[in-house]
Parts: sequence; C-alpha cells; structure tokens
Amino acid sequence: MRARLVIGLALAVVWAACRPGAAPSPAPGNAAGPAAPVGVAGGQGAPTWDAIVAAAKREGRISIMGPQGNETRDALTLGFQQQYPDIQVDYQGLAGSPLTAKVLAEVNAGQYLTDLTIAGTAGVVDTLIPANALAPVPPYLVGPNDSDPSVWRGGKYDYADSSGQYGLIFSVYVKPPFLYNPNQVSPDDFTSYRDLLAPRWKGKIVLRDPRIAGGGQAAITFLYATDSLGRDYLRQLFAQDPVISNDDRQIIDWVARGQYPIALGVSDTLANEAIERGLPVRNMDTARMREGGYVTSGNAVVSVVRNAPHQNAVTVYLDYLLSRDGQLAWSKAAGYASQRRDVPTDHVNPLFIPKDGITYQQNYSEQFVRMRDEILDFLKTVMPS
Amino acid sequence: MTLRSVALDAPRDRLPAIPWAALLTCALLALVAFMVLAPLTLMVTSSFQLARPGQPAVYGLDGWRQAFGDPANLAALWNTVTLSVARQSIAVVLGVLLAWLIARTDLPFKGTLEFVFWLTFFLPPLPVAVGWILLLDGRFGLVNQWLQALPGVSGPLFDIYGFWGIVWVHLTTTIGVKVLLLAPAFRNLDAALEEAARTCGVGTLGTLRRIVIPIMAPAILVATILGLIRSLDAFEIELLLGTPVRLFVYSTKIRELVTFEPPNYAAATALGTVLLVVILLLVALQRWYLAGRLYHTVTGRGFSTREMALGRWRWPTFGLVALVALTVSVVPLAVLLLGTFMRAFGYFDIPNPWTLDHWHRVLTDATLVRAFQNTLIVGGGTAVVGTLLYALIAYVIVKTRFAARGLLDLLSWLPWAISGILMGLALLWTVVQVPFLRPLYGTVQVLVLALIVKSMPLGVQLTRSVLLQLGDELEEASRMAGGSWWPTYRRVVLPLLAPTLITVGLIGFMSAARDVSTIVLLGSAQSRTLALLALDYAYGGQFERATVVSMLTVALVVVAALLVRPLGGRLGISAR
Repeated sequence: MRARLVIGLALAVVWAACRPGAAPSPAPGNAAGPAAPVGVAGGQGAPTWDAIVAAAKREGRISIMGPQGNETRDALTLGFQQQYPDIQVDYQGLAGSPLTAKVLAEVNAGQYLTDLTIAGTAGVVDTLIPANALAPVPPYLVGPNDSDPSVWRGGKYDYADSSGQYGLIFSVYVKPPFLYNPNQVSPDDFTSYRDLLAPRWKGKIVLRDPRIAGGGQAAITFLYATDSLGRDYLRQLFAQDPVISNDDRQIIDWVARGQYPIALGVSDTLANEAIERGLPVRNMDTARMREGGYVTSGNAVVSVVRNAPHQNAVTVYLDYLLSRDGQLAWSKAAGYASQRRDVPTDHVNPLFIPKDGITYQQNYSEQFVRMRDEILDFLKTVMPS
Repeated sequence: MTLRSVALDAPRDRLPAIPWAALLTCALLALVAFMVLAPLTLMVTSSFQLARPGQPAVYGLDGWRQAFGDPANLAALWNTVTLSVARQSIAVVLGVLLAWLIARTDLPFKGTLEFVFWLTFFLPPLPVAVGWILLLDGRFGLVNQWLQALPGVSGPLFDIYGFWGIVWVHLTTTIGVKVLLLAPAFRNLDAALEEAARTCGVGTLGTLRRIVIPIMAPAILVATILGLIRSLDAFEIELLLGTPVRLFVYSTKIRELVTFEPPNYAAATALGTVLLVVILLLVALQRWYLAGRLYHTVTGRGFSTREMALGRWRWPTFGLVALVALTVSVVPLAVLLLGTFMRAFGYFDIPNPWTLDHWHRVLTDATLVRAFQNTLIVGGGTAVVGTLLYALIAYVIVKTRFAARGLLDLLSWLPWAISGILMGLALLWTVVQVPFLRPLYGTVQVLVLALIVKSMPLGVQLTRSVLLQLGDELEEASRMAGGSWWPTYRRVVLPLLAPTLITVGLIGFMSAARDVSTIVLLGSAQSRTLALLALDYAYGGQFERATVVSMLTVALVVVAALLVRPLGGRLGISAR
C-alpha cells in the first residue's frame, strides 16, 4: 500500500515537472523580439495614457530584477499589483554581479525576458551601458505621475550616467561614516575620519570588501577621492589591520558582540534592521566629521533593458514607481528619502537625510564610478591579500 | 555468451536487425556528454576570455596568470587541501565505524540512530554554523560560559574560529553523510564472510578491519572521493569561521573573483579548473585501486544478513553512538529552532528577546505556497528522473561491455569539476546559448535539469559502488530460467539496488530543495523555491525568517524521507 502511494506520488511529481503548464508562460515576443510599444517613441504617434494602460494589460506582465529582501520585494510589487491587477509583476531578487551576469547572458543570446532592473550604479555604469544592454529611460516617462520632473529635487530627474539616459536615480541618502558599538565606542571621540587611525582601533575595525560593489567600495571611493584624505590616509587605515569581510550579517554581528566595534561600508538595510531589534549598534553621524560625507543611491537606480518584452507595461510600471505612492512605499521599505519632494520623510532616520551646510560627495555619479578601476589598482598595493 | 553482456545482447533475441541496446547506450553517452561537457567547455573557454562582461571578446592567458601567480590563491589552495584531508580522514573513520554498527550489528535503536544521522544532511549549513558560533565562540559562546562557571576553569576552552572550528562544524554534517552513503552498501555484505572470520578466531574489530573494510573498498573509496571533492568546493562555513583569523580557502577566492565589480570571470574560471585536475587524479586513483579485483558480496551462493552480536558492549556502544548522533544533529537543530523564536538570533540580553513574529510573517508570506509547490516539484522531479538516469548510467558502466563505458564513468564525475559558485553561471550560459534549451529558461524544468546534472557524480557513483557488489550469477540464473533483460533487471537487480536508489533519490530531493548556487541565475519569479525564498529573507536582514524557511524545508525533506525510506527496506535484501 505504502509502495503504491509513494510510486503514485513520484509519478505525480514527474508529471508536474514535465507538463507544459508548470512553466511560467514565456514573454510574448520572446523569440521574435518585443511586442510593438504603444506609448514609447517610435510607436504609433502620441497615444493616450488609457491606450498605453490597455496595451499594458494586454501584455499582462512585467519582469523585474531588483534588490533582494522580502520587504523591498513587497514595496516594489504589491502597490502596483493592487492598482493594476491585470499586469502580473514577476519580481526576481538579484543584485551586484549576478544581476548583470543574468541580464547580459539574456541580451547577448537575444533572449529578451527582463524589462527593468533596479540596482546600484556600478553595474549599470560599468557593465550594462558599455554592453549596450539598456535602453534610454526618458521615452518611457509619459504617464500622469512621471512626465513632470518638476516635483523632483533640482526640478529634474537625476541619472547615474553622465548622458542622463539609462540609470534613473529615485532615491539618495547620506551614508553614515561607520557603524559602531556604543558600549565600546563613544561618538564624542570622533570629529574626523583620521580618528580611526588612533592606535586603540588597531585590529578593531572591520571593512566590507571594497573590491565588491556595495558599501565598502563606496566608503573607500569617498576616502580616496576626498582631498584631505586620499591615498596616504588609506595607507594608514589599512595599516590599522582591518578585517575584510563581504558578509554584512556577520559584520553587524561582530560589531554588536564587540569583536570589531567599528565597521565601514556595511549594508544600511541590515544595520537599520539590527538597530530596530535593539542590538547594540549605532550609525555615526556624518555631521560630526569635518571632512563631510557622501550620498549614495544604494539600489535605487532603475533602468530599462534593451528590447524589453513588455514595452507598455514598462511605461505603466515606471509611472507607478515614480509616483508619490510608489516612492512612499519604497521609502518606507528601504528607510531612505525619495528624490521626489512631495514624499514625506517622517519615517526616515534624520542621519540619512542630507543637511544644509555639509558637503556631500555624490558618490553614485559616473565620475566616481569611473574612478573605481584606479582605486582597485591602488587597493592591490595596500590591502592584505 | 558472457554474463556481462546480458544487457547488450538480450534485446537482440527479438530484434536482430536493429541493435537497440547499442543505440540506447550511445544515446545515453551523447546525452550525458552534452549535459556535462557543454557547461564545462563554456567554463574552460571563459578562463581565456579577458574582456569585461558585455564587451567584444579578447583572448589571452592573463586569467591564468592572475589565478596562479597570486601567492594568496596558492596559500588558499593549501589551506583547502589541509582542511579537506583533516576533515575527511576523521569523517571516513567515524563514518565507516558508525555505518557498520548500524548496518551489521545488533546495536539497539539503530534505525532511529540512522535517521538521526540523516537529519544532519538536511540541516542548512549557514544557520548551523551560526548556531555553533553561539555555542562555542571564545567571547560569548554559551558552552564556554557554562564551562567557565566550573571550578578550575578560567578562560574559554573552545574557539570556533579557525582551522579546527571549521573542521568541527563540517564534521557535524559530514559524518551523517558518510553514514547515509555507506550504510546501504554495508547491508549488502554477506554475513557469511564475517562469520567465517569469527570462526577463524578473529575478533569483532579485527573482522571489521581485515574483512569488512577491504571488501567494502569501492563504496568507501567513492564516499571518500565524493567527500574530498565537496570539501574542496565548500566555502560558506569557511567564510564565516575563517575570515576573522584570515584563513581563506580556494572557493572563497573564486567567490571573491566572481563578485568583484566588474567580475573577473577569467581568473575565477581558471582557478576553478583545479577541481577538474583533482577529479581526474582521484578517478584515476580509483580505477587503479579497483582494477582487476572483484567485490561481489551478493552472489548466487545464498546470502546471510545475520547481525553481528556486540555482546556486553551492546549498550555502551549504543551510548557512544547516541552521544555522537545527538551532538551532530539534535544540538544544532535545537539551536536553530530556538533561534527562530528570537527577535535577533543569539541575543538574549536585548529587550523582549522572544517572539513568534518570524513564524507568523513567513507563514503569511504570499509567495510561500508557490515556493513550497516549486520545491516539491523541483525536488521530486530531480529525485525521480535523476535516480532513474543515474541507475541506468551506473548499470551501463558496471554490467555491460559497452566500449565507451569508461568514458561514461569519467563523464559522470565531471559536473563536480565545476565549482558550485561557477556552476550557476556555466549553466546559465549553456541554457541561453543552446537553442533547444532556451524555451526552458526560467522554468522549473530547467531547474530540474540543472540539479540532475549537479547531483550526477553522487548518484551514479553511489549506485555504481553497490552494483559492483552484485555477482553476475544472479542475472545468469534469471537468464537460464528464460528471463530476458527487462524482467531480470526488474526482478533481480532493481530489488537489490532499491535501498541505494531510495537513498540516491532522497539525496537528490534534499540537494534540490536546499540548492541556491546552481539555480539562482536560471530561475524566475515563477520558479522560486524555498531555498531562494530563504535567500531573499537573508538579504533583507531577516536571518531568523530565513531560518524559519530552512526549518520548513527540513520538515518537508523529513516527511519525504519518512514516507520513502521504509520502501527501501521492503524492496531490498531482507533476512528472510
């Protein structure tokens, strides 16, 4: 009896794995190229917004690769799904080099399956744009909520790339200088990054690996590109014998346990989560540092993949993402302020909001992303291998 | 006609015009060659491709120079070798002893003990490592704190970080794997051999050393080689426990190169070829050792499964085995479970440390049901299809005279020549570049295919080692009685293989259920499994919720094991 049950279950599983319906339906136009867009330049004249939405509903889905984390996923999908239940959001959580590897593999093979990426600046500027894997974003900004850039800071959209076409940045925040354990580190001891060079911190600092896109790379870029710090400062910092790790959870645990009470470049999402849970970790205030600080876009750069298969759904989704509601949902999940001025910031830690009178390096801009090869070469001379 | 040619010659009786068996074996070889060589070729080619991702190709040797010219990589390689040898040496000795006690002696509650050892293979490695940190960290480890309360103890007795910490955490899962792999083979040992040794005055341990181990050589060798290769490829625990003391291993170096921005695929894949070399050496060693010898333990002369009596050592031995089993399975499982009810895993001194919120949030996650279904389909598909394929490959290798069976054997090892970190990339490149595979991209079917490839070495070699134990006269007897190939296979070979096939299927199911690196780039939102859902939680800073998902995966695998495991016992060799 049991044998029959098990064999029956096995056959059912094989059938489920092999039947055609088990697979997600491939994007329309997958093999023959994307469906003709209604609302994008190159379409049929100037269609109405209703026509674009109707066309998007006919497409029926949008495929997005974006930051991992269930709350981010919910923020980027649930609101849109409620507003447009006929357009299914296929959201895959990926970041860094896996995201760029997947997009490039698809585009190079002529498999146009992904519509949008939401990622950091490095992959967009360094890899996806040079590989011609992205399409310009502005032609898609024709909706009622995203066609008017005047509600955005500076009265215009900010882009990661200097051409102002491919990587639209919808959120920037002040990256705290470092995370510390308040039981072992007094914030009053710090007025400059040079205070990290004090002998008492030798062997007590952990740095997120600066060779990998993310917080560690951004921190080192700031220190390298700041005139009063630069290469000499970094040589001294690495002489402090910092431990290098690329595991954010582990880094925060070390800080909370006091094993390494200071951490540079750690994930702010995870650090905020730890602070919320009551762990003994705190962010240092940039305002204390006489060298100033930097702002970063984190993973808030949206790009359209070349030959995106759901052109109209892309237009509709961007209109939602860049709307007040879409930005509020993102801002609450990420904990950072939107670049859109009418989005409230009362839920955002004031440490992350740029303050008047402080100079912030725009760490996410192409100028600094392009500097990273030079920085990586320099790091080879000072980092323990 | 010789006995070994049964499989190839039998169908000829009915269809003399078409050599079906030869055609089928050639098709099998072609299928396996494609499944294995396509990603491997792409990986090796990539080691010469120097251009940045997405740029026009530029070929050269810089990747190889970077990979092998960096002293840090060579040091990491040496660390990997010493760690692997240390851990496998201990695990093989303990694994052989435990598998023998469970499969061949009258040890009390041995079925339960075996299942407890199986549990260790189901546990997610990263949370388990974090659990051991919580217990054995030199500063705050609970065991260290308890021990320091004892008189005469000052300072921590254990420090989880470093070489022996890594070995210890790996051992807690490796011992269970060895029991899992070896117990079915030990069950196929004819007790008459042990009885003969005892009749000649050889003691229990002497019998184990002089009779059991030599005759079990194929299975032990396969378990050791498989363990060594997986050890070389391990990186999660090494990353966690090695980084603070700057102990880096080969796989962490590959991971670094792949995650750099921009990624250095040339150096990563060049470094990855070390595994290929190691596998070729180990396979050659295996062939050399097994060549020209017979390891038949199940023959036509009758078969005894009588257990060896442990006598007065029965209960003390049970106590020791139970202690090991509890240490490697129940302790980490309990710590993991405890962690899922804490606001922050391992932090007892924060306000309101206990919560049910993680379970509530996971159980109400809208994507959970879909992930659960996908895991069942992907795990079940991999287990059923994979096991059938592996059994067929192993049968052709061991029981036929197919000219290219040696090549088939070698090919079946090669999926593990690709480092786990690179496997996902290699399969992604393969699927999107091969026209007939493209329609599968993003589906659960392609995940099943990828996972079947990944588990092939273990599935084929484990089945092969048991097939080597089966004497040819059993099949000959069936043939003499008029049975053609299929009835012989179904009624003679399959029942003898059943416990092993059940084990292979369960390992396939479990590996598929918890795999991340192989499928992360091949999947889509629609094919997300529980393991990928756990990854999503972990990246969002919700380590405890990720552990809840892992516990649900463990529960799923345990239910599958409880359902299927007795089937192996029923179909296999019994004491009747």
